[in-house]
Amino acid sequence: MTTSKTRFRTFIAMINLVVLSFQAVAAPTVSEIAAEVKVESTDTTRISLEYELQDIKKDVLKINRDLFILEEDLLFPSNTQTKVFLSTDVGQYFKLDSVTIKINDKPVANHLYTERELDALKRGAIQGLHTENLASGKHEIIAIVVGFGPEGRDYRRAVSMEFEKGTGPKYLQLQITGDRVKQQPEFRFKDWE
Amino acid sequence: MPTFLRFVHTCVIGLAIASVSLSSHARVKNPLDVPHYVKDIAYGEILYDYYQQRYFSSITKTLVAQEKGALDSHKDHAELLLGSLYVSYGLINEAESIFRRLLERTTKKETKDQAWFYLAALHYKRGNYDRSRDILNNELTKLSDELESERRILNAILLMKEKDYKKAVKELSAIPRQSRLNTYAKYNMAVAFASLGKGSRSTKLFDAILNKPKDDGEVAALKDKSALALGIDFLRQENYENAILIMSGIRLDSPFANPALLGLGWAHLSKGDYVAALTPWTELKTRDTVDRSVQEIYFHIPYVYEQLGAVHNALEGYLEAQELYKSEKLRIKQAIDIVNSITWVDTLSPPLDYSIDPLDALPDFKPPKSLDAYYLYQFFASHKFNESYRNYRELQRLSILIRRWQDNMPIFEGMLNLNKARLAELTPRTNETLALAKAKRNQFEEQLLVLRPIQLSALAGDNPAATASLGELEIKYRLDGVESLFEIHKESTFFGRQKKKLAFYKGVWLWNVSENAGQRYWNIEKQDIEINKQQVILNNKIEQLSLAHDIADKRFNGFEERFTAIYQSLDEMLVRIDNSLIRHQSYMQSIASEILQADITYLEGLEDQTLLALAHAEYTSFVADRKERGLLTKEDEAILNETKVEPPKRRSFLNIKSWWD
Repeated sequence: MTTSKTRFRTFIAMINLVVLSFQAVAAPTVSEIAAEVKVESTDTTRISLEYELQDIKKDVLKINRDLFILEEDLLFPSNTQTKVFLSTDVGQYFKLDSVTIKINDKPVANHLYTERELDALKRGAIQGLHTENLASGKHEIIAIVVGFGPEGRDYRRAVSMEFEKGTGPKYLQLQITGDRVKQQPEFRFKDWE
Repeated sequence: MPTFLRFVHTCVIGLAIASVSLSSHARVKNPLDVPHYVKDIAYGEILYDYYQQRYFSSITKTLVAQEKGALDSHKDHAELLLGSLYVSYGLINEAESIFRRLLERTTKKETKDQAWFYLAALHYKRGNYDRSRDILNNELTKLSDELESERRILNAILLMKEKDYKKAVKELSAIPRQSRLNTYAKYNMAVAFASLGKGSRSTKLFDAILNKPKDDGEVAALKDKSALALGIDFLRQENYENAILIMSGIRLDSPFANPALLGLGWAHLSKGDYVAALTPWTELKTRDTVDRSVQEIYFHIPYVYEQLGAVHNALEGYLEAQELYKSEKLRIKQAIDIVNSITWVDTLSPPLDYSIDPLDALPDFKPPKSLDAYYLYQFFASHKFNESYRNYRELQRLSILIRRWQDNMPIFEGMLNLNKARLAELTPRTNETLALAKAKRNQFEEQLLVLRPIQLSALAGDNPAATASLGELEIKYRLDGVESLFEIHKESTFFGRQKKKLAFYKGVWLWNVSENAGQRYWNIEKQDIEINKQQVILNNKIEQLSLAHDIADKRFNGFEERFTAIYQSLDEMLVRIDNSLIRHQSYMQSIASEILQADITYLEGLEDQTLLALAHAEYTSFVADRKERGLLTKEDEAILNETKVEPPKRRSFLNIKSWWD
């Protein structure tokens, strides 16, 4: 009986201890726990990091611009720089396939066109086809244009122009246009002064 | 590139290039969205890259062209294009300032509104709610019906963030029934009504969503979410039958299945149907213990056993729950250690194996197969994490790009040194050639000084002898010699006949010279022109060579300074990027740690509650046992009354969390 009583008292003491320990630590209810689950967003930090990234990106663009100009100045100084461009406004009369550029009878550029490039040209863009250094004086440029003419016929045409290279940069533009009357493509160089 | 950004491109470039009619919009001064020919080559080149989706190159070329002043005719077109590219590149503020200046010069209102709307959406996405709201309220005029619905939803979400639920409801109720966004609008409206305490209106709307046919995954997910929200609402209202009915409809593979199973059990339990509560909870117990619903039912199932009189099973269940909470806590602590390690974010972002073009798309995030990912799956799926992760990846990519540029700098320097060496090699030769040419020119000019008077007198026609050829001059020289001999012996009568002959020969010589004087004068004039021409050419050549020499001398001036400046910019940029990477890392780490820490706190709470429940079960069992065996004395009962152990108060976290968030 005494043993049983002792066990009983021991058990009660243990229960008391558990209850008291809960009171001591003010155990959170499930609802309180749940309230803590939601971690408040630190929006201010996020926005400040976002702005920091934007500033970095902006300055990366500036560096890239400076590098681009530096490279061009090194490779093609303005007094010798000669650039050849190509544009098309030819409608259905011609589909460009490739272009070969010769300057002073020396082949300097060869380009095969992808659909994406043709699409860009069709939408009014201008392709920078070739850049090189030329001494001042007279030069000759020849373009050999290959593609498909009206009704898909193979088309190959050469066009040439003599030009005078001065002390400033020289821009030449090969223009491929459509002649509605002749229903044929036309090729010509434009010398940008 | 995200779809809507592509659309911004389309519409903004539409401003610049699209073929639109001006007839009804002729009032805009110098409109930017009318067809136009490309007049500046630089602008054409920018478009060439742009149309091929080489956006970064397109931005660079635009900035270069602006710097060089190569956009005389298309300054604004190019800038507007730049604005759209800035949107894709994430320079939202720069894009906005361009739009503010230039969008007024567009003729199509809808195009302008589209650009503004997507900028507002982007501000919202980046967490800049004030700017987003500012654009929505001040810049938009009339959107297309579909875009107008999107605008209303965005505005309503912003209003709800400000807890202005009334205005949010007003915005959402204006969305037409036929709009594809109507279900989404209804859902948000139900949430807004619930937040306003208008339970019945909220219930009606949730119910309306549940009655929609499941036509796609998006609607199905929204229906599950609505069913859960509605079911929990019924639970709160103690409408258990409806709660059971609604939550039973949630798909078992839905992301909302676990809380739904938990809620379903609660509904049965609250009705007093303990056995029925066991069915969903037993299913839930087979699921991943990382989920809070699963963790919670480890605490509730023993309670059901208790209520059903299976005290032994209940005690075992509580002990099992304690074990689970302990082991989960341990694992979460290990996960926290992983998250706090300096390599954690790097393990989330393996080395870049894709394009380093800053405007190319970044690959999707793939969660790692480590312990942290197990507990952070919801964080990884969150918008907050994905935005930070994207920024982090972008920074990593920029860092690689900058290092690549740094690597290229010695190549540029090499080019400069090579050019300088070549110049040093050519300079002496050039100087020599120039000196020689100048000397020749001087000699030539001296000779001309002598010849010019003779030439002039010949051309004047008063000295035909001046037109004589070298052979004729030689004869003339010999005749003059003879004449001077006669002059010496002029007293002598001996040379009378020879003197007559000399006079005859002189006459013949003069006759010969004068006979084709016209031709000779012409030749001299030609020679004079040729000489003048050659003189000009020679002078030009000398001038050109001198100029080239001067340019070459100055050509490399300032390059060293430019190199130094770029080196410095690159170094500084790398430091900034590295620092920003660290800040992004610690931001992601702190959020992840907070989430995991909250998980531990949650488990600790459950653990404490389980201990209390265990004590209560032990107590009840002990008392019942003693009563049954008749061992409980009056003294014992008095002690028991004093120390009565109350069961823990059972409330599910379902009641607390807003399930529509």
